Amino acid sequence: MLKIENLNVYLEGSSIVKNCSLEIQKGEIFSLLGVSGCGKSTLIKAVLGLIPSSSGRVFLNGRDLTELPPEKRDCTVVFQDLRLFPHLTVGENIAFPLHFQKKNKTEERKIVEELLSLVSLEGFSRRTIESLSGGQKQRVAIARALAQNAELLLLDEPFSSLDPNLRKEMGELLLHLREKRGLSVLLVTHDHEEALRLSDRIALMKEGEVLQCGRGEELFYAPKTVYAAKFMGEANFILGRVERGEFKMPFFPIPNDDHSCTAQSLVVADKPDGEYYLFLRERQLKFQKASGALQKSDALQKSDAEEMHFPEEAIDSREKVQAYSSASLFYPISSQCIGDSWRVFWENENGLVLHNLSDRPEDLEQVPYRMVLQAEKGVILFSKEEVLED
Amino acid sequence: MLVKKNLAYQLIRILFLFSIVFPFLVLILLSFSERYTWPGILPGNYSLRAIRSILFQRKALFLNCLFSIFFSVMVSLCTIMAAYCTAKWQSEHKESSLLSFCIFLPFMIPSSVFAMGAQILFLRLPFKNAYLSVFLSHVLYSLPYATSYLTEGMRNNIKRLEEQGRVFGASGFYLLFKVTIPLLFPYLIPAFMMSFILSMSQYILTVLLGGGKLKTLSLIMVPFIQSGERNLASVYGLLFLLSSFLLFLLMEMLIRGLKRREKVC
Repeated sequence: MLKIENLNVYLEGSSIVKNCSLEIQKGEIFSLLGVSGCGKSTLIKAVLGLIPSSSGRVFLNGRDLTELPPEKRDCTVVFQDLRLFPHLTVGENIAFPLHFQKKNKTEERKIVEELLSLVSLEGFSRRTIESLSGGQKQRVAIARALAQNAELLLLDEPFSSLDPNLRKEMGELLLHLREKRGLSVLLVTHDHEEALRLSDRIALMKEGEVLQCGRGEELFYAPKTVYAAKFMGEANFILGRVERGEFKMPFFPIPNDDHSCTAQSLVVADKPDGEYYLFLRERQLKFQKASGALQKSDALQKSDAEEMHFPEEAIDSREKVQAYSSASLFYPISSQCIGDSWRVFWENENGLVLHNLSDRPEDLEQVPYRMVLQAEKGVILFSKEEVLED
Repeated sequence: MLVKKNLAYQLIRILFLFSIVFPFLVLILLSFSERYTWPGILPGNYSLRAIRSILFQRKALFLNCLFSIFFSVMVSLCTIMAAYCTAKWQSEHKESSLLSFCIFLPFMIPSSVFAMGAQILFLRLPFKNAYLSVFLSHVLYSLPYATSYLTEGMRNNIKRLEEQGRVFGASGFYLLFKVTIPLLFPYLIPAFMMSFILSMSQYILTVLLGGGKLKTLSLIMVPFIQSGERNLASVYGLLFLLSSFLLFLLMEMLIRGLKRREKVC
């Protein structure tokens, strides 16, 4: 549907969009996600032809749009500031794009009423723009964009100025419109939750470049960079070491049935030896009440302890074993409400704090818990240098 | 405190109205007076001589008034177009201080100096037409005023709304008449009226560059002021005011008519 090939955009001597290549399929909602100033809006304007690109091509259904003026590109847009014409009524605003489709007045009126009905604004045709609320203006802007009947709808942070409930409502309206009309949408947003909730695929941008592009789950659970990992939501980073294809976290020995403990290890075939941070989303981390065995430092076998590689602060291996055995015990320290669930913070003896999600934090007791990994989709490791750099 | 503020506000309002109405009353009194000397508050004697002598040449006067108004309306339209282009260029590029300085030069230099410079310039140009020279000099003189109004108007998101219009398929004249002009309307009207008043009241430029060929109302009126025929000058002054009021009235009726038509549609 929309194909962007190696697009570069310069503004006032600075490179704003760098070698951007994207492809949007028909009927999909595709998000451009990133912080303010990363080039998302500039990319949208370059696609629309409002800003000239210095190199690269833009294709829509195989048609090269690069040299065409904005009025010939068959794209429609809702900008963040909506840009409703203040001198026209609601009906006139929506009918504005219809003029270029050579419709007569009766047809125009009919289409305007249909679109107003679609966005739940029946009877608003003669209202002035200044008499509308924020949400109503948003709906009118969307109805006006739909009136153009274009192949592609571009939304440049259209919901950012709305309150959370209204944002959710608008998001549902967008999904409803996509189902009903088979819309293809390019959505620009800085809100990762909005992108994850609404999009089929997401492209994460940073400083004019696309860092990663893929389905929401990929970016959320398998980010390729630390920046992407941190941007897409809260995460835990646990320091460990890779040796001979195995990642071990010496702080977290796991008890076996025979009361011995082995260091937690995960197979990671493609990483060279060295120190790495294990990346875990909150949902991938659980805490269970520690069994009686783990509470006793004697339970850990010395041989197991010698296989581990420990930081140099501990004195001898026995003490190390004792230290790490107790270091694997966590206690809940605080919780934070985040909408439908709670974020619980856990701390061990060494001061390491991790966090996960829980439905009922009030059920947690001040007893030792141990960490349980639920990283079904594979292990994501970032080198220590990468994490510290970011 | 509030009462004091209201009283002060009312006083200022009354003084302001008085400063506009009082000279107008004096003009009317002078038009009907034969002798009006200091320290008399009212004229010494009244006469209709001034009005009669103007009505005697009413056909020529009517034609001169019509020509003045028409000429100034044309100057205003041309000024608006030039001011629009200037303001649009400034809004799309960073406001160039050099360009602004050049545009606002007529503000800064005395009008007689401007007139002498304009005469020398137009003498050097290939076309030697009095009407064209006066026309262009009036446009140049009114341009800074009109540009300042339209620059202010351009700051009101005009460019963004034009972009939105272009995305919907509008371009060229459709975009201009359906988006730009309606949005700029509150600034176009005062820019137009300001250019009109400046052109109508221009004397030095008209007499220097026109060489006496253009008979505008200002050219007819000023000699009477200089010769001391204050009653005749006052009558011409009232005519001047009347023609400006008529144009204002026409503009007002046009705007109201357009608004009514929009409501009906």
